[in-house]
Amino acid sequence: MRKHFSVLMLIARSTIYKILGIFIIMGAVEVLLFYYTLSEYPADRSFSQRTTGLESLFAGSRISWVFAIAFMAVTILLCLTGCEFKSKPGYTLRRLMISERSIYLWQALYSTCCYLFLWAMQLIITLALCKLYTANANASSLSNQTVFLAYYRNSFLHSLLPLDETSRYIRNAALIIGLGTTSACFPFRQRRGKICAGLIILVSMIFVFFDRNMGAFGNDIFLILVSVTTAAESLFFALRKEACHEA
Amino acid sequence: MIEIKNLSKSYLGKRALENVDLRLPRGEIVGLFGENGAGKTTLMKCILGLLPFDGEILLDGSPVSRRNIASLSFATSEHSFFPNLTPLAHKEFCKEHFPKFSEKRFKGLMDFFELPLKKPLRSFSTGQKNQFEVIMALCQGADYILMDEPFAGNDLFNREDFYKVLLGILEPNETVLLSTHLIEEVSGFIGRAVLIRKGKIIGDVSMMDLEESGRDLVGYIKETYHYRADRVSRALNELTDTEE
Repeated sequence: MRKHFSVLMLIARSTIYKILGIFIIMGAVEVLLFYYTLSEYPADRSFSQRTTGLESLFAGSRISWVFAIAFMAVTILLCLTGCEFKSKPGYTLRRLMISERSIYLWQALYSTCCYLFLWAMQLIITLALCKLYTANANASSLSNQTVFLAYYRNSFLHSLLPLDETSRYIRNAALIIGLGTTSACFPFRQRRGKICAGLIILVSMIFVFFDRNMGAFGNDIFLILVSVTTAAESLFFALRKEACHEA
Repeated sequence: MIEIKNLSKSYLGKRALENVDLRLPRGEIVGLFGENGAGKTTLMKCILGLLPFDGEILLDGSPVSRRNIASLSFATSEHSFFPNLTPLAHKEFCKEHFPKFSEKRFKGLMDFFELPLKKPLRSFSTGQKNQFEVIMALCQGADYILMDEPFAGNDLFNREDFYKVLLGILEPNETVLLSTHLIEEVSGFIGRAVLIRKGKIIGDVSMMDLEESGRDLVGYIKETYHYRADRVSRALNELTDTEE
């Protein structure tokens, strides 16, 4: 087991600080953008003059764009871990007493955890920003349902925390697992001179279809299918017997 | 002993190795020589199980598998280390995966070549990277150490240091298969020379036999390759004539 753990540590060592850095930068930028937008629209004015409140503040502060950039940065970082550019670490990986398939599975697990933390981090940040908003807003313009309504009305917030929309939770879980398995397959394929088309397709579909309002059931099913298909294809590629002899 | 029997390997229909038979007993330093594209690297990759092949390769009587792969180590000019990790992190990683990893040898060689322990390898110079690559191959406790152009990019003094260190630290049971173009430099310390051309072994001679016959390694290689010494002067003459 120590051998397996050392492989996991090898992957984590080369990315963990960079990923934490991305999380910190993402959080800092989002707080700054939100605070700036909040200061531009004083709470009493926004509530008296606008029918939408917190959700329009989130939309106006472009937090979803920051999340998209952070998502891309994490994806690129995870994909490059184990790739061969100036050196060929694949020669060492293929000489270990544990198989390259096991290494792939550890990398897939690690990547899945990273995406899970990215989602959790973004959710915590948005909840913290809601707290900041409610603390600064005029008490007369707040209700018990202010935060709930924001997560109900804003498509980005709703996609992060879908309240009672089960299909969206399943979609998010499928996306996290799909991204973890396909991004781990990227270096595995690159070491064999191949391109991981599955990841490119999945990431493109996420950019187009992630941000959806409540009730987009067909959209959720579509993303689940894309995610499951690309994950299955990656797993099949990495776990098939011939993969260990492809250079 | 590494026994290679009837080994053949093709890349997209092009023969890279053809019916190679070779035995590498323990305790030998063997030089593997050949032109670019002769099949030296392919041969090493087949021994390491990095490429599929036809034929048989036995490592102490058994096919190469994850059970005995730790008996082989590999140093290559392409570099097989993890560029984002430090030498210290490599040491920790290798200790887990290579049961006979020699920490003493690692420390001694790192000190000798004055390589930093806590800097990521991507920041090393090419010479330092080559040194580290060879250090890792020598420290994994392997019985058979395969080296593919390990000194490409190192200066002469550096290479000479390495030859001396290599001779000084090798245990009697350790075998080195060294692929290089630096024939004259290594002729002093290899015990046997294997010549490969167009995927076939065309020469295999012990240095002792060469000495006894009064020939040197460069002469033997030229003779085996049917090297025509007048080729260059004839070509130059023809070129000069054309211009005139």
